[in-house]
Amino acid sequence: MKYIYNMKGRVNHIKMLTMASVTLCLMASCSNDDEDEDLGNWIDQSVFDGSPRSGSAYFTIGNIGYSGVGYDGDDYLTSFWSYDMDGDYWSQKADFPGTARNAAVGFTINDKGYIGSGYDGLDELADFYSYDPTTNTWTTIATFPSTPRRSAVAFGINGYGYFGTGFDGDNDRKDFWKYDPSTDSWHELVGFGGDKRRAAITFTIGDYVYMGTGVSNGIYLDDFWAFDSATESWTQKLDLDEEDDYSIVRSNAVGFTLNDYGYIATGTYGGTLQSIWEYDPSTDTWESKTDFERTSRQDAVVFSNNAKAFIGLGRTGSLYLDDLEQFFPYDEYDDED
Amino acid sequence: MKRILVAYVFIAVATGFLFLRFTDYSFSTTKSKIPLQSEIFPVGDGYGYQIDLEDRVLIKQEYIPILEGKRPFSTTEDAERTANKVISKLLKKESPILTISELKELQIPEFNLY
Repeated sequence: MKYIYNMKGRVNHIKMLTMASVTLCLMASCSNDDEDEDLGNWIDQSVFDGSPRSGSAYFTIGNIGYSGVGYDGDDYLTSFWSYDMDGDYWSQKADFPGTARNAAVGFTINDKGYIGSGYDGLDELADFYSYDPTTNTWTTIATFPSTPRRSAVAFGINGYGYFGTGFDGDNDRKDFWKYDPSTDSWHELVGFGGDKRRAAITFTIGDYVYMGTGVSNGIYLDDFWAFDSATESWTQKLDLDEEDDYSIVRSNAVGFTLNDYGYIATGTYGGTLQSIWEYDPSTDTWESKTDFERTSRQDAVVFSNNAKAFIGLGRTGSLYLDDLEQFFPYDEYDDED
Repeated sequence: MKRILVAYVFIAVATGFLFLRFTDYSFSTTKSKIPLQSEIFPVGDGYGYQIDLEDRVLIKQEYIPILEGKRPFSTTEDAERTANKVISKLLKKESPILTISELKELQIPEFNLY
């Protein structure tokens, strides 16, 4: 009886030993496999750079893109970076002097950048700052005099800044305001006929600024507008769902200009989107372009100076992305690059 | 029974040893497979650094990060310590953002005031 028990015991122990050895072997091979995959991914994605963050503000001055503030999933940020489009490298610049925030706006007036409004995790904000790239310094400018807000739109043209729409914590807005840097003052601008919204986009072609997309109370807006900077008047263009095959409506997208065409890219409509649409202002029509090659995203940043455009730094769900990709609208799609 | 106990202790030790060895091994692989390098260069009356990935420049820092104005690092050692910090963050797959407290820790004298 005792002998039999021992036999059983020994068999069990042999089994256990075998299992332990197998486990060890698996561990060894697994750890090797993982290592290879992680490395490959990291280098691929990381045409790296800047920092993984979302809801960053951005503007472009000449051949340099600037991006700062944002939310990295744990913290609201104040760090501020420049991206040299020709040299393809980043530099960390002077920290943003206001409260750390995301969903702020960025725009350029006469070779100075501006960042303001946004959300610090508790409140919507109304403070604005200008950045001078020649001295790498920030200056506090006049606080926005109306309701603090986040997820607004802003653009600079003809020596003025324009800021409007957004979410004030309770309601979406449809008011537009004008900032005059020569007097450091804000004035309300009347005449925008569109609906209230948040997380819309703009792009500028020549003397016109185009504005559209965004969301309000769960409804994605399909109206599209052109702002004539000479007369400061708005004209409604064809809706973003005018043709049956258009799928342009969305929020949290990016808008940019390249070779005098306008683009709406990425964003969210139910889920995050990779699609890019091209706007031809001469015909008021849209054409679908090759999808953004990387993971779909919302709240990305875009640097564009009409000659080059780079998209990056958005988020998909809770995964924060940190790569940047140049967009060539006229090149054939190549999945090797 | 005693022999079996010894066998288990041996397996436990071997597992622990192999685990450590593989962790260590993978760490050094990571290091050697991501060819990040720093270069220090003179700017004005001081120094800047750049971080290269193979032939590509990832970060070029002509001036001390975070600070307003265009102030280069006062010594090559300051620039080098900062560049190495950025590389170590990248190798850990962290964001390359430098913070005031990190630059204080690196004993960059310009941050003594903070």
